[in-house]
Amino acid sequence: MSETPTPVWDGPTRFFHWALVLLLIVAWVTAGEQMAIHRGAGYAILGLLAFRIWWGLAGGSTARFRNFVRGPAAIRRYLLATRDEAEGEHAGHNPLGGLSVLGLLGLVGLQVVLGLFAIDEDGFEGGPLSDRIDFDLAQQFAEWHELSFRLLQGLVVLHLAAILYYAVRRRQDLVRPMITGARRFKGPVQGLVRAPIWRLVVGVLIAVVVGFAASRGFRLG
Amino acid sequence: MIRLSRKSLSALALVAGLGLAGAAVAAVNARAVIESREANFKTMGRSMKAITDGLKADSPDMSAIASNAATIRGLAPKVSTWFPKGTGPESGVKTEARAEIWTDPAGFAAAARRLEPEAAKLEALARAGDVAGARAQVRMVGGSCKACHDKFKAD
Repeated sequence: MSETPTPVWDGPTRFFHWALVLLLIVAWVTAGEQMAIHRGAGYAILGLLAFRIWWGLAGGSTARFRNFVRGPAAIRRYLLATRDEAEGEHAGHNPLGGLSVLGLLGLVGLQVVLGLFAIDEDGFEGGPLSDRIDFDLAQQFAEWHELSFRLLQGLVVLHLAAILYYAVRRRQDLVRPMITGARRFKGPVQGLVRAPIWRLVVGVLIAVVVGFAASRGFRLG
Repeated sequence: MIRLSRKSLSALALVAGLGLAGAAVAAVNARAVIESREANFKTMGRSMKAITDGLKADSPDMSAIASNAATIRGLAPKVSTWFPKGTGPESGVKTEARAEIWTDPAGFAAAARRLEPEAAKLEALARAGDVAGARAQVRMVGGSCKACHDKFKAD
């Protein structure tokens, strides 16, 4: 073990992660009941996703898509490798974890977009774009919104199961680095390369604009 | 042992046959009743959506809102008549109607009765051209839908 922990996840990535956890829980418990809060959570999640896409292009090294989005061949190689090879001792998502990140981000995005068009059975509580389509189609969106939430729940359970597997079978705590940002490695590794602060400022602006625009149904003025 | 005459046997067979036929008719009727009430609720949902969509505008078309409110007001007093016995989940036909509609008929009737006066108020406000009043009242209409659905509708 190296003496000092190596930085793995930058602050914005960790903030994104835990804010998403919190907002998904808020959206879940308010669904169908406190719809003003439910919609607010949806707009905030959309803003967060916009930020995460920006951060995946311009953020810290371990948050960047090009550093963790791998093809099927790389994922296969990773799965067939021995444990020591697979550990690979590198900071960031492994090829399979990268796939899981893409799946979660994609499904959360789908979930929010479906919600924008959905309306409840009473024709009363709806997303900000439900007025662009008729009642029957908006009701269909509401059903898809529920279905995609079941899929999202399944993926979250898988995510938690993977964390549990790492904790129990591999004695590796994945939660703590997502809080502190750092972990210890056996040998020297290439750690996180941080992004300059101005990129964080740009990302926050993108998030606010996207979240606000969604709340207005993307209507200008 | 009871000896059954040929006559009483054929009478029994007739009764049994009628019973089966009756059950089949009841199933057909349950389906028809359920489909027609769902169509009525959808009509109200469409009107409600037209109202909420319309009220989003800066200067809403209040006559369109009044006529949609009138649609809801017209259907509202009939709601509790759309649930005859035998059209619940026990009918075997897919329905989101909960058994509580028939085990608590007074509670159901009271919840269903709330809609008509709220829709009538909305219609009156819309006819008077009161946009702010209509925006507040539409919440009362939506609330009466939800209050009844929370108790008496699955999902």
